Amino acid sequence: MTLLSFRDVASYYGSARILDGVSLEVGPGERIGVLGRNGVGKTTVANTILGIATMKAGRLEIGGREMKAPRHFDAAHAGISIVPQGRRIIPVLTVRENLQLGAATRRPGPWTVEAIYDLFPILRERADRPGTALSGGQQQMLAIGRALMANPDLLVLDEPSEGLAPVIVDQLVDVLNRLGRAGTAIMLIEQNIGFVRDVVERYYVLSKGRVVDQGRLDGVSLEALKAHVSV
Amino acid sequence: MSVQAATSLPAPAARPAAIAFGIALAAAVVGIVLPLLVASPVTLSLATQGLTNAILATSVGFLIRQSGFVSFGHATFFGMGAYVTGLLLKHTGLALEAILPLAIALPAALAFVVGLVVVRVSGVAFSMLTLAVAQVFYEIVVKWRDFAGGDDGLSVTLPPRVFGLPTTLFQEPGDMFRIVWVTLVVILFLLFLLARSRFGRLCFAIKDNEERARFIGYRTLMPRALVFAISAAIGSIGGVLFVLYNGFVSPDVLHWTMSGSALVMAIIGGAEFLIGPAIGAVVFLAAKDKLGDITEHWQAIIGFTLILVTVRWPHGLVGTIWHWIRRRGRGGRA
Repeated sequence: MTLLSFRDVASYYGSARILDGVSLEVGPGERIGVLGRNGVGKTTVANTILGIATMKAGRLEIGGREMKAPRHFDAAHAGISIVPQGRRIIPVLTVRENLQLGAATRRPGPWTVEAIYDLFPILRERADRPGTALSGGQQQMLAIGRALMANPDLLVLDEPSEGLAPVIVDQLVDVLNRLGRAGTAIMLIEQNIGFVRDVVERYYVLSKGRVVDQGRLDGVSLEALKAHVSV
Repeated sequence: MSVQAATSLPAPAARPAAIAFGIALAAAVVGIVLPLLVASPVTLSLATQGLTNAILATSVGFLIRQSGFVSFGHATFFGMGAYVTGLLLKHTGLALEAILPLAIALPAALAFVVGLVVVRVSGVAFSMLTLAVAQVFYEIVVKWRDFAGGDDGLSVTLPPRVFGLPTTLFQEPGDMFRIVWVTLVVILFLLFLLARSRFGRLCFAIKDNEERARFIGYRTLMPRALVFAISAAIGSIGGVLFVLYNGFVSPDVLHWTMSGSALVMAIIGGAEFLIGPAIGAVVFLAAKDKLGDITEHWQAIIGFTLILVTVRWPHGLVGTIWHWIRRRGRGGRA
């Protein structure tokens, strides 16, 4: 069973077609990257799963079930947690409360607030501070921690390295690899090719709303990948 | 460890709750003692009326604080609390002990059902829908003369005793002041606990970014409808106390101006703070009383004050004082 499957999916914002026949799959425990320049529709892949972008053609399966018009909360209940671009921490809640909020689906699994603190010890130290009082890197950790609290089978991260210092990105690489080794599937929507190479096994390249290249990363040069995202 | 265990409230939450309980207890004692220090029954009577309005303002403020919704029709629930009490006493043989919970539960249930529709929209659309619902109830009561007394209102005769206590307590200014004061304190304490609960935090998250809460996996309609129902229940408690004290209720308590006054009280006091609307109610009614002696155009002064508060002190009186104290505290440490 695939955790996520797009087959010839066309997605729209209003009348604007953003995804034009995209096909991609994520299986259990897989780590895949979705690459491409700005504006090619990478975030729309996540937004289609969330029901923000409207799917008008093709077939979308989430957690093995076909979804014709997914509602915002369907993905979470099907075991897909999405860490959005910009993190979207709830400012009025503390770090601990933001994490607790993540357990909406009550899916069974290993992730608890304490387990998140073990993964990101800095969050334990900042537990009673407002979520937005954290640095950018710490907010990203909080956003990932909140997503993990749903005990997902698939973690989708939209541009998680955006605006982060290289040293923090290295920490994220380490964390995502640990999650991957523990069996959590990962879908990394990114432009940072170095980051992607350090985490994923397979990749899809989007251009103008279509998949123009895909395959395993083994044997693909960094330069060849960079050509897909450089202007 | 299970997910449920991981998401139960952490231990540090107990301390603020204990402090709040201590403050509530002290406030209740102050309210019980206060009538002994006030000789004038007129002053006590005005204060009691003010406190019932404070409960209505608290219900409006709670809705704003917990969900971001601004209701222009909350007098409906205040009025329903009063009318359900009066009508059931007059037209049924039900005991007052049974009527009192019904007079709170019925407006809350109505608000929940209405809420399932109106909380789907936000901003001005929500406010206008609440106003429309309120006007429907106002018109029903005004037109239904045979049953509800129409424009003339409804006189309510209380039975001699309720819960073993004489009902004359409700109509004696000093005793009723204590009852309404303690009720308000209990409501504020319960709302404090609710705000700190998982449900309360979820409501804050929905208020901040509903879409985000839905992406995390929450269905957001029910929590918002529940907040609307809880705020209606609080408003209805004010209405019940109002009719017990006055022994009379008229359609005035359902009028949109009543809803407007409650909103003004909440904004002047500071709706983002639990105690703000209650303080706003006291200030509003004290200003109304004093200004009414000076000029018949007191409403213009209240209106000007509302503009001033909205523009100059958007956090209301309590919020402004709170931020001033915090700034001074930071300055002191520096």
